[in-house]
Amino acid sequence: MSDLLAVGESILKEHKKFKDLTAAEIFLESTITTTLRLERWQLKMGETTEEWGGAVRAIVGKGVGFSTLSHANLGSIAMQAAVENARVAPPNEYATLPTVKKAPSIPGIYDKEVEDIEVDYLTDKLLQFRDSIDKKKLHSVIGTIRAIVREIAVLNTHGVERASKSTKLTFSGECHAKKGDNLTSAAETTYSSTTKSPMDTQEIGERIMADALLQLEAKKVRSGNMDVVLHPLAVREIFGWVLAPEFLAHNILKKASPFVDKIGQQIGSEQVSLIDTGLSPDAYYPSGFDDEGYPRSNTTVVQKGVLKSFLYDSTTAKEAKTESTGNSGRFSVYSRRNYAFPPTCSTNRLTFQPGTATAEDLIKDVKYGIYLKYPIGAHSGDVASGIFNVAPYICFLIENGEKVGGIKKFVFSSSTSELLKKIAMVGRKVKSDAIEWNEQVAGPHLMVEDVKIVE
Amino acid sequence: MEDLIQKIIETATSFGASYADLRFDNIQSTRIQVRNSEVTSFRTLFEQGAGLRVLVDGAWGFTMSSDLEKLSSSVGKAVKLAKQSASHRTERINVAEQQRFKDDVQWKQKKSHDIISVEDKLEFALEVNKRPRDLNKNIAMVDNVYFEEKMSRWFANSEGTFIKHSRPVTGASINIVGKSGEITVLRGKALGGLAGLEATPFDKFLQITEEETRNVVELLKAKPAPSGDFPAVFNYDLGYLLAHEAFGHLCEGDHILQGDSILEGRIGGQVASDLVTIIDDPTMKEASGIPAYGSYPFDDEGIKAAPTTLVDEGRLVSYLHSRETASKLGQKVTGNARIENYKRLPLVRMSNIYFQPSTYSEEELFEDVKDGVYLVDARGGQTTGQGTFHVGVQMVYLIKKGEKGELRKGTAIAGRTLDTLKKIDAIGKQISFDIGGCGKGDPEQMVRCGSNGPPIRVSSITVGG
Repeated sequence: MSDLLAVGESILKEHKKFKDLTAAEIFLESTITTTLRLERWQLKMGETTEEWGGAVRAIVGKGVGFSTLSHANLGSIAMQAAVENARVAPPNEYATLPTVKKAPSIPGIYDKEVEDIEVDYLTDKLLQFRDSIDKKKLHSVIGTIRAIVREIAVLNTHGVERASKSTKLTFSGECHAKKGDNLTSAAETTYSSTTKSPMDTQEIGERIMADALLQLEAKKVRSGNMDVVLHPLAVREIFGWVLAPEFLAHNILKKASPFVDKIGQQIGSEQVSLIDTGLSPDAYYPSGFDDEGYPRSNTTVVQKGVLKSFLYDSTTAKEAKTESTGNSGRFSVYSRRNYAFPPTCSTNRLTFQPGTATAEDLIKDVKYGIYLKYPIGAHSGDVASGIFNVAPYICFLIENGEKVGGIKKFVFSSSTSELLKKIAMVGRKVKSDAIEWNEQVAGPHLMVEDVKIVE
Repeated sequence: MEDLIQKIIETATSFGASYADLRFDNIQSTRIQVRNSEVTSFRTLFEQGAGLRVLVDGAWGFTMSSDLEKLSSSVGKAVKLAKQSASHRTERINVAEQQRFKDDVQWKQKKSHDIISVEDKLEFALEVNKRPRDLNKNIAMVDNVYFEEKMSRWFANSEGTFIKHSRPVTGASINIVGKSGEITVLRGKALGGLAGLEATPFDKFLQITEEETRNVVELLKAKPAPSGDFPAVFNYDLGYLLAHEAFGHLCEGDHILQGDSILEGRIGGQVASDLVTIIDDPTMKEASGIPAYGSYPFDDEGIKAAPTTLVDEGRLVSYLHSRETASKLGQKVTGNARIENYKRLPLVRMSNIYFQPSTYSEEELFEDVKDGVYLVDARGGQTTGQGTFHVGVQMVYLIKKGEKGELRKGTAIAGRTLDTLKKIDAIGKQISFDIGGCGKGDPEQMVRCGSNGPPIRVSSITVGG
């Protein structure tokens, strides 16, 4: 038995002190991280952190209470606080905890070599990145590399008792070029569960250097409607912040999504197929079960543009009289994974199914348009209506099928409903570049037709 | 507690750290969230732990744990990691010299969280949730939060500074979604402060709730916002977002060191119109005497809080600094190193940044605008070191011949920061206070910031439509 499960069991036993308790759940999380940071060409810092936290969810009658703890010795106090909250909470007809069901195990999500990683390995990767960038041509370079070992455990009074351990190597690199007052930026992130998959930090360095330098060729875009090619980072930002929540059952049940009552309807072009790949080893937080211990699954949400399903956790499934799809997650109000927030419906890894085109294929057919690698502002989009506006951070003007320079100013206004219908071509490579606070959507390059741009 | 903290710092120095500092947090909070009458979160949080930072051979190391005993045993690892970085450096990181402090600062509650039962707080949250839906049938969803927190933070360093700061926080927030046919609109508002229940009078928040419900109903009927370039009056919240998001981040010393700010090397230069003075003030207080939402007595490096003028009549006069960035750039420490909690490293952050008020009344701000827009309340903002920004706008009013006119739906504005600051041609006289938050770093750290300031006017801004 894992250490976390043993701690969880001892906290769960506390429930016996409360005769009126209907059900209780313990969630525990331990994350051990080694980090190295590079700043302006030099290594700056090394970090070793061990985050430990847990949460208690208690149901008394139909009331639900919640509490958190940052240390195992707070377990008894946390159980009492959760029970007291549950006693005064108004009844929730749909309050429930999962019962035991077999959960799949996901191979390849843990690598002992990552857990035992040498700092020299991380240092070499970081220095390879730095040395791939020409110091004479670039203004600055920043990089962060991490080795992460994460364990979670979920236990409840219905007999659910699960634990999962995964590892992750993550890298993010950023560089800046400068000519006069013109400062440009380029950045990419990547991750892998194992040292066996190549994490080519040198290739990333070379690619982002080229991006930063090309953007020094400052261009303006004309206002009007045009084709826009979205890099996977832009797909993640725009569709992650605004689209992903629109398929979650709690938004559907509260009628806060443009897709309410649209099951079976065409909501996107035929190029669009979206699967929530809960069983993917490539998820940023892979596990065979969700954050309340229910088995995760691969759920087809959109198939060839037709809306097929929404995503449910146990509570929303009970309300909708259906089965959970294993989509319970614990996220803060800022969409960061956080044990200190009660489980709610969330995507595991909503993934645009790849097409056949390369990124170059998508760009070469655009006579005049935009290649948007990284937007800003997607987080201010409105989930209920799907309307969003973004501005460029890393962006290029396309003329006659080629990226010709960087663009710094425009507003791209649309809605998720409109954008899904205008997706004309889909790239063939889904990129794994999720970041901690917004993991909901993964995708390949997308080409979107006839988008309104205001300069 | 003090002995154990001192012992850990002594262990760090005995392992070779030339400087070490430690932050220990003890937090207890209650959070009630309601969504269409369903209590989606009724949480009591207990959180404590400490983070230790060491400077060894001119590079940093860091470790943290929720268990002080465990932290003691990981000091050696942090020192080793710092040495690993130092072995690949050609220049040493230093921290600027600073005064040593010993203090125990307690910000008290006038109206204690304990004078109202948790049942009454729950009833308040449920009533806030119900009120908009009682008032109008087109209110599709209401999501609101009540929260209260008591936090104590200890700071100690190897130079002999030892500070304890305790403070309460209370607040409430609401998001209201209106729906009519295929049209959906959203409004959000918050009330609160670094104080007890006096920061969040329940009756006042219910009034705000009713007012926002009326706004949602009006927005449902409104046409879309126009798109293109317009003269614009920004209400206080959008003025604040321009100061904070578009400009303030560019002044942060760590961004300057990273080469990720267009303000690098521009001290003394003109970056805004002559009318503009921008100040960051962690000692700022609201009219009621409650500290503004981004206030603190000492920063998280133990530096006594003081206001910093960043822009003086259009000229850039200072950045915001930690001890490291001040040392590297040869400038005065400003006391802007902050953490979200003990788990994280100090970053250079704003506190309460604001445009210094001028003399214009709201009516006078509108007077000279023939055909423009009045932008009301932000919905998030984002900036880049390249000096571009994007801010969501909740409501837009057309301005015709100097008069506030028709309401339009929300939109977004975007632009180049320095161009926009140079286009400021009037600043209001009335400063407003609000609560806000700011995210930065990897992993992202959220800190509280005062969303304060007067309304401003710009001669042209790009509106998204």
